[in-house]
Amino acid sequence: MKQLYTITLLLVTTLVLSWALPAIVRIATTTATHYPFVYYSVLLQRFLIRETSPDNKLTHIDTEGNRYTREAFDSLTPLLSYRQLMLTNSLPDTLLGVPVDPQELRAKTFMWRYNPRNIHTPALPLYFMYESESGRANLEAPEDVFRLKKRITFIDKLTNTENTAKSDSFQSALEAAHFTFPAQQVWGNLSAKKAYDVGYFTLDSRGRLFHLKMTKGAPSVHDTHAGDSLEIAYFNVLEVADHSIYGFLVARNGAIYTLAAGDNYPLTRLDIPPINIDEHSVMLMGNLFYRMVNVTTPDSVTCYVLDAATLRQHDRPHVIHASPNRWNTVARWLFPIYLSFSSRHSDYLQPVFHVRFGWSLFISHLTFFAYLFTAGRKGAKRNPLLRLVNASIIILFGIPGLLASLLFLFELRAKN
Amino acid sequence: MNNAQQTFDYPLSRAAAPSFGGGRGEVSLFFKEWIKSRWALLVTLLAFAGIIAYTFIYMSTELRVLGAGTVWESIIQKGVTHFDYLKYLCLLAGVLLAVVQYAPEMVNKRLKLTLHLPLPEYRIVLSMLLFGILSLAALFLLVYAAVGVGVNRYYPAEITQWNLAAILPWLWGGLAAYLLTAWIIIEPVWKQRLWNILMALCLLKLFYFDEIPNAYAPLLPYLITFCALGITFTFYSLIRFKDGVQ
Repeated sequence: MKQLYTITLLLVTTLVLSWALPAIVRIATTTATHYPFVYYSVLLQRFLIRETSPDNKLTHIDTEGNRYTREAFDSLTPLLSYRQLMLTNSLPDTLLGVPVDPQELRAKTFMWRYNPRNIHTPALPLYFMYESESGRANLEAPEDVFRLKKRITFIDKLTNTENTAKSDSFQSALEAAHFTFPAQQVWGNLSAKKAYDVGYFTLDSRGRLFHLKMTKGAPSVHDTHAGDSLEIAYFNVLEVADHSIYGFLVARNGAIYTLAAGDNYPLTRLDIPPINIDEHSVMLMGNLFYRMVNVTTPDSVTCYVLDAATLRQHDRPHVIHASPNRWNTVARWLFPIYLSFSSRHSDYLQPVFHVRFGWSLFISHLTFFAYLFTAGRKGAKRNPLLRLVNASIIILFGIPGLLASLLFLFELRAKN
Repeated sequence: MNNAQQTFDYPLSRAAAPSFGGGRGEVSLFFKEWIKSRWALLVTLLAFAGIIAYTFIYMSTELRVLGAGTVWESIIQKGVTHFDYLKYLCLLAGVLLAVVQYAPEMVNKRLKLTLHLPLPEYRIVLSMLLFGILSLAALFLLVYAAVGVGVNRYYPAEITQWNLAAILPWLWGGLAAYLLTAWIIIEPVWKQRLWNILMALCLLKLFYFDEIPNAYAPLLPYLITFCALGITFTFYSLIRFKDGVQ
């Protein structure tokens, strides 16, 4: 029995060390993956790149390698720097033949981000239903919250009891629109700090996307028909200043769409290759003429520029490769297998084994032979099964396996 | 038997003279453990009751002073929970119970006398561990139920579940702390004991990542399996103790 207990402890210790040691080494060695800021110049019709050096000095270059001063960069990116240009009275009157109105520039400028954490995060499934047409400048917090799962239920915040009349009214509206319960997902912007409210987008049990909001106190439910042809993974409501879109939709196959505001909910696909929705993140910057989409993968960032009207690619994409991270190099040499519980792609904790056989496996073999002919010599002769376990854990886990084996060496020596 | 009772200096002899047969041995051991740990259990129970009562008073005051709108908003938008004080209390409860149960056994190696009781050694130690596990489980179930019932008075089921999900890993962490402390205390060699402490700290850290409630959902089954494995750690230390490892 003692052998069984020893092996159990040896394995648990190895697993713990194969998480704790790499976590410590990672903190000590990791370097930030730093990408420069990239923006498409409407005047040059090419990407401009602003890079910050380690001593905080800015350099501005374009994809042809030409260097610019900061002021020149501002002038070449009027859709980004219009406030600065207004300050210096150098905002052009027209851009691409279109008269420039600062208010319009502001209304057409927005940003949208997608991160795999958006779909891999625990959420509290209660929501605020704002009045979409209150006639007031600011949104007012409702007196109730609602849940939408097997049915829709409004709960009064003061009394913690159901507002039956309101629940029934919305339930009837959803049923009348052929919404099938239970709801799979509810997406909306819960914050009251927004210019206006478009309500919620909810996925019914058959994967159809419905638009749900409250207008003049009454429920308003519409099938967007976006779910008819797509398997929807995520929808992000975005209240842009020009009211042109409801938000961005990410399909399970990695395609990204905008859902335009309008009666028929027109869906337009962004002309970029599908992303891996579990690993890639996206940043989209919109302006009067373009949508600049940066897709970040573990190895690089690819910058696309799309026409704002058609969402087709306007120019060739620009790719920037990630600088090597010191942690990756260290891990490749030290840890053939290591364990982690958290990920930058998910808010959930789960054990994940990272396997990086290569030089680390060669080194772990050397480590094992060094162990076998030095510290582990005595113990190994005494117990062949323990020798096998020691061999396996040192070869597979490297240093954590070695430390765990040494830990139990004390025990063998102590007994002698 | 008589010697053992005198050496322990526990009022086992004052028990209704149970004989060590037909499962009554375990009952006597449970009684012995109860005598050792009853004050610690009472103090722990009072500490939990105090913290939970304080939290509910705070919750009610918060709703009254700040208003339901503000409080509900911060819970729903920011995922605020209310029972952070329980985090390390669960850990302390597990450590305290293990200390009061096993530290006296290690003074003058009294554990050797306990192991001479007319029961198989594994049943003796298992009974001791089982007493601790059941006591903590009962205590933690009470805490879980109190939090559930209490939060439900003020908030809907989703917020209750949110708070319960936040405290669940801490409760399992308390149980793990108990098993790991027992493993450390029974270990006879100090050098090994230091290793054990280091390992225990690493293992306990797994229950205390500062995460969003429900983030533990995929990890919790693995942690519960680890808790079950933790029982064998104590047996490992026990065998070393019995072998007279110095």
